[in-house]
Amino acid sequence: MDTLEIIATKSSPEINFNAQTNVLSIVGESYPENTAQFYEPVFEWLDIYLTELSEQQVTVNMELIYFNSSSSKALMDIFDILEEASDDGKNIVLNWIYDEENDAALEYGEEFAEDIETLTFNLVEK
Amino acid sequence: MLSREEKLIEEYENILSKDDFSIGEQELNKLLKGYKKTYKQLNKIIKISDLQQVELKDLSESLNVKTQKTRSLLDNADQGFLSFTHDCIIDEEYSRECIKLLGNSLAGKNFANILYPDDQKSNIFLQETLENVLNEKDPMIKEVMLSLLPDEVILNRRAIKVDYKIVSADKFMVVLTNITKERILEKKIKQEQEILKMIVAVVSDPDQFYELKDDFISFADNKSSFINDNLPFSVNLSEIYRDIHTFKGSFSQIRMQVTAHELHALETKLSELKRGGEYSNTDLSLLLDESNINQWMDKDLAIIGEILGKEFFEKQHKLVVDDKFMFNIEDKITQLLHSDTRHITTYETILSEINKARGISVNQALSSYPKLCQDIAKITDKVIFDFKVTGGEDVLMPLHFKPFIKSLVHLFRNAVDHGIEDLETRLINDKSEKGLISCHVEDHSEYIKIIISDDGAGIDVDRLKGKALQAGIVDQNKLLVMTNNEVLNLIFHEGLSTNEAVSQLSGRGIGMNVVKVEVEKLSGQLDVESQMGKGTSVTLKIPIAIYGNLINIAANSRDNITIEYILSPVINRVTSFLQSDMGFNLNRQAIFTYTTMQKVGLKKFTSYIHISGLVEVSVCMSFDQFLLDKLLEELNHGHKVLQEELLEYRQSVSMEVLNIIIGNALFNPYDHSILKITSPNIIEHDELTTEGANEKIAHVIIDTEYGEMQVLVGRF
Repeated sequence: MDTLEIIATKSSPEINFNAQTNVLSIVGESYPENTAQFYEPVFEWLDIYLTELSEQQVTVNMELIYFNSSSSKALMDIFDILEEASDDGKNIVLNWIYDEENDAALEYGEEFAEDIETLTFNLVEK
Repeated sequence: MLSREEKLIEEYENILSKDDFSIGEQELNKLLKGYKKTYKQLNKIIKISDLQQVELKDLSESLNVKTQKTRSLLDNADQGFLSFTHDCIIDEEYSRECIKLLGNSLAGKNFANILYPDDQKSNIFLQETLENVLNEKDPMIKEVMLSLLPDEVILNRRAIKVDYKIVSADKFMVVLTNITKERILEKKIKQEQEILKMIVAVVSDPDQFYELKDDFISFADNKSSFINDNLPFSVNLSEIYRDIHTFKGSFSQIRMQVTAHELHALETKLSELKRGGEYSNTDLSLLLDESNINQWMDKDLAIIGEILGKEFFEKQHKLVVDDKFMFNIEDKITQLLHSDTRHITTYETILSEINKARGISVNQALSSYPKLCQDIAKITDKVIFDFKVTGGEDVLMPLHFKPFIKSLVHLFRNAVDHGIEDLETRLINDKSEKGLISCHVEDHSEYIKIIISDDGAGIDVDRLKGKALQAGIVDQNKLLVMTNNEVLNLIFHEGLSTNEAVSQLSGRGIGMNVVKVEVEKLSGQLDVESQMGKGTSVTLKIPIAIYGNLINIAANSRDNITIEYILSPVINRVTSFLQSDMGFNLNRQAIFTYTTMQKVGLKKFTSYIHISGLVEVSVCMSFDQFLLDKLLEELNHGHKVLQEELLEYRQSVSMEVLNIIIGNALFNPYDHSILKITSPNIIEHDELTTEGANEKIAHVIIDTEYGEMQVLVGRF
């Protein structure tokens, strides 16, 4: 499966989902003009990837400095998908990476982590 | 984004549209699950969004604070900062200094219009250049273009330095610096330099300056006569134009800038007349009359006068002559005087004139002291009236008076520093705020008196007595018999000062003694009078007439009066030598007698000296052995002399003492050709034989605590 690579812009994060290494990362700021359109390929890729995925451990790294409300919706949908996969017995670890000085980023991570049940959701200081 | 939710809604709308309301439990559960999920997400989004709002607010606040701080930094930077886009329209944000330099409400205004409101050319150049800079790609060329913009403008009488910077593709920043002060300072320095150049030019060729000054004064005074009504206007104009142009060149050459500037302005007006063509001689003379030509040099001359002194202008027409040349003339006249005694008065007048030409008057010699007094007053926080030295204008100062005149600095210093009281004390004592110091010279032909007075606090006699006792200068018994005046004169004694604090100005007790020593060197006398609360006055009496009188005497050179004129300074010098230099006490005043006896008895050791030239006379000094031995001891600084050498030593001391006294008493640099003094010799007889019968000899006995000495003056 191809690697999903989207280069960062001023308002959108860098996406690097690698099916070979099983490391999926989203890094940067997220307030694209059209959030649905931006994340559409992400969801599509995830769908296929998770279907094909077997025993390997998957690491998802999220390091988002700023994101708007529609991006948080997209993020939560990603969490849902990962949570469902995890329910299905997939081995997925999610690292929410935040900067030591950025208290808000930690808080958002904590908020998101609250409703996660089966998925491993780590809050990782950078 | 909400595609899943939209799908759900669509799905349930379909179920509802079936109209049979047959929703199974499974469907309801799915609905509920979907709803719950949406609710949860919504909840989360709201929460996170709220968190973000808080954070945003914090950020914006801290940004505000930072902006304020930055603004405050910029506002207090004493530099103006502003920015604008390609159209030169000034942005909202600019620092406070911009308002000061460019005026209020700058936002939205055109920077070029503000910087060059009346200079269309510069205005357009600035706008075009800025636009070109933006269109240029190469950063190097951009920089070069910016550097071509004028970096300094004068606006509202301020000099403003303007720095242009490119901050982004479409934005310029301008840094404005007020450099008015620097420019004013630079201007001042430049002016000073110009003045210096003028002074150097004037001083290095004063004759050229005097000549130009006189020429210009004469031109200014006679300007109307330069217009000849019989000649056509154009001829007159050319003539005047040429003159003015030449003057301008000459004044520029010696850097008299103000004058040159005025001339330049007139030249411009004249060239306008030249071009116009419809003018007449009347217009020309009107123009000359309207220009205050005779005042044009005033400013430059005032500066020259201020720096070089008003005397500089008086030096015009003066000649500098080598001193040797004058001495040669004097020598020749003196030779004539010897061979031709009939015209002695004429020679005397000529000699005296030559002398006047060479020297300065006593008044001039003292003339720097009033300024010195003012300077000292300033340092010591006192105020004194301006004063001038009066009298002594016609008394030529002999060159050897110089150290004496210099020593008077101590008297003037004391007068201001110790004499004049501070303002408060003076007011309490009903005195004028300003202290009064005066210096007067009295000319008594044979001597001069210099009287230096102040209306200050006076000398405290009791305190002076205490000090004198303390310093061991007098003992209690002596003090009791001393008159007030005698006590006052103790201030001239070495090591006595009535001032407690030793300042840089006075108080070491040396200054007054220096005056005394110098006065005595000139065989003069000094006396101080003082009244507590009223002031102090010092009178210095200095013989001055030896020279002039010797010439008179020469006219009747065989007259006995010769003796007295030599005698007086010699005896003065002998007593001051014994008392001041040797520290001997005199038992009584010197006894003067005249004798016509051919033979005069002498003491044990005698030496004589012969004076020739204008007068022919000998001086002889004869000492008691004990006195001579005491002198030997003093002069030999207490060293004992071997018995076998004693005679030789005694003889040489007697000659030495005679030599010192005659040298000092009659020394006058002007006299070198008039008085010739031989080396001293020993008389080994016990009596002196005069040249002829009835020759009058002055015979003076000086009685010291160590024995007597005789001084004989006459022809022997």
